[in-house]
Amino acid sequence: MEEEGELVELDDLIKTKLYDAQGSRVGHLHDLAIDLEAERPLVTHLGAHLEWTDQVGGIELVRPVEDIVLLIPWSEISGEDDEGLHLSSIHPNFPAASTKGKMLARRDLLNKQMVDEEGSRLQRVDNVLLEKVGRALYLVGIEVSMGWLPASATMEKLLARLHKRHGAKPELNLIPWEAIARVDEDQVVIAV
Amino acid sequence: MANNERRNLIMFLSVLGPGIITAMVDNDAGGIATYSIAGARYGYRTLWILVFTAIALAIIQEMNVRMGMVTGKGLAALIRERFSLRLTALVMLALLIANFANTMSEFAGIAASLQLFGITKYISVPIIGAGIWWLVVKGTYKRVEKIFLIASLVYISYFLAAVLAHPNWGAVGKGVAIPSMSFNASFIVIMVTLIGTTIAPWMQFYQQAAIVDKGLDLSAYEYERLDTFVGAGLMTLVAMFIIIACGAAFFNNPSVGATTINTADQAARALAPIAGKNASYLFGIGLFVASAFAGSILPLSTAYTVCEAFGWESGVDHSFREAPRFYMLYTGFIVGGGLLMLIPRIPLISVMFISQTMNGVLLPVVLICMLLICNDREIMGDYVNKEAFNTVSWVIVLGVIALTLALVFTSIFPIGG
Repeated sequence: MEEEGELVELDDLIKTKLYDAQGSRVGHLHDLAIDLEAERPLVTHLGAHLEWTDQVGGIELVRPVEDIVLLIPWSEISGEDDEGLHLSSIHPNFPAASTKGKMLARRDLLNKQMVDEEGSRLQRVDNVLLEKVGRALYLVGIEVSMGWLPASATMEKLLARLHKRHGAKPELNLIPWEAIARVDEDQVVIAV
Repeated sequence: MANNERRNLIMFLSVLGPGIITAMVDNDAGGIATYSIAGARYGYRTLWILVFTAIALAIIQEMNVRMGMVTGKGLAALIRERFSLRLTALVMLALLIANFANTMSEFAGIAASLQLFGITKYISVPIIGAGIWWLVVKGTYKRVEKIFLIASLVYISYFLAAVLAHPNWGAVGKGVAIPSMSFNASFIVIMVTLIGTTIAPWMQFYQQAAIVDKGLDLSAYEYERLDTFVGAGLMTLVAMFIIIACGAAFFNNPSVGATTINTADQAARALAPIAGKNASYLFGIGLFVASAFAGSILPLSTAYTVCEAFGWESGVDHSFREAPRFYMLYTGFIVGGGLLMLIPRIPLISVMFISQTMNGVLLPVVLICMLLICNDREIMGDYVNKEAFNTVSWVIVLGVIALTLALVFTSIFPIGG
């Protein structure tokens, strides 16, 4: 049986403080890269917004750069507490990965336009829902409304249909990941 | 060469619209009232301020042109994607309140202008409101845009009204070319009001949305930029002619107490004995067209903007079933704004105050968001603000913000009459 974890929203994770192995604050969490080929969509990298660095992927730069976002493997996280996430390397020696071919939760999903397969606009993505199991983070789906901003009638019908088909919890205004046909450059296409 | 020129002209005419319409709608009932008061109280001494306002407007609106063409998205979508849902929701709430209050004042302008021709507001407001609604709901965007462009020609009436008021053109030239200041509270208030009236948040959202709706891309950038600059220039000329007409007729005229001119229709009425009935009628026609024009564009712009921010289907080319929220917002603004205007003794000054305050609160947020987006290479690529342009933009934006906040402050705590 699949272990049930804690649900977390992307909005709550963004800006989480990052510390290196020596406990120095190096920046904050900016984004999450997700592996869609895994059995369950899994967070594989964190987009770390570093206050500065003079080294990217082991290469020394000519001069330090400020406000840089690097993709660092999720496995680099050595621990977490109320302060934030702790990384196992010492700044600036972080392993860095390319964003090529990766889907980033904030860049590609959050606040993006959702359309149906005919291209009709539905609503924008209000949040991305993740499930935390141990230290692993899985993508659950996208949220489409907040309490004070009710979903449109079309969206309510769509959600009801999706809940029925995919068995998601009805109390969440959630579009499960299985119902997403594809993620285009500027929009998320929902398979109804 | 001749072929090139002809091709350029055809290109310009095909992209013409968003810049000119946005700028011309800015000369709405509230704007005409402000220009009338400025002319009546200070003659031609405030004309130079409009030159600076035109430059600021052109620089701000150019950024909207670039953002719309580079991203293919409206400003509301960019604010939502670059910043957050929370900020977007607050901006939309403020925009809804400001634009609704503005729409009410446009209906007040329609009522007041047609009252000059003896038509009661209980007839004019419902008929014109229904006409505006029908024009947009039943028309395509192209047709609506053409009608709006043709309607812009009616602003020539202010030029004619100014000529009929027999101004001293030498003094007019001096007023434009030589800055003149009075360091008293009321002059500073009118100066700030002139700038605050001219640069309003709905304009940034509307022009960018219109560019996206028209499908314009960077190949048409030079032409659309020209459209924007021509719009800012024409808007300024119209505003100047209103000031000239009122300055020639009322300033230092003992038969008209300058401080008795507080609204555009008062100015139109007071013109009749001085510049003749035709000048008065022309002024009234200008006010009517401006109000009807803005009374249509403001609800339309609001509906587009809010739908874009939240991702709802929108556009006049969609049916009600396809875009219900778009039509509900548009219809709600027209019906609500019109109906509230029909309430006897509605406190219009309070409505204008709400509109001005919300605009004042909103403008700094919108302009700073625009500048941050225009400096974001991830969004704008090579079309980020160039260094010199950026410095000028920040100076202008911070100046406009300071003056707008001063306007809000002086609205809340009046410092002189």
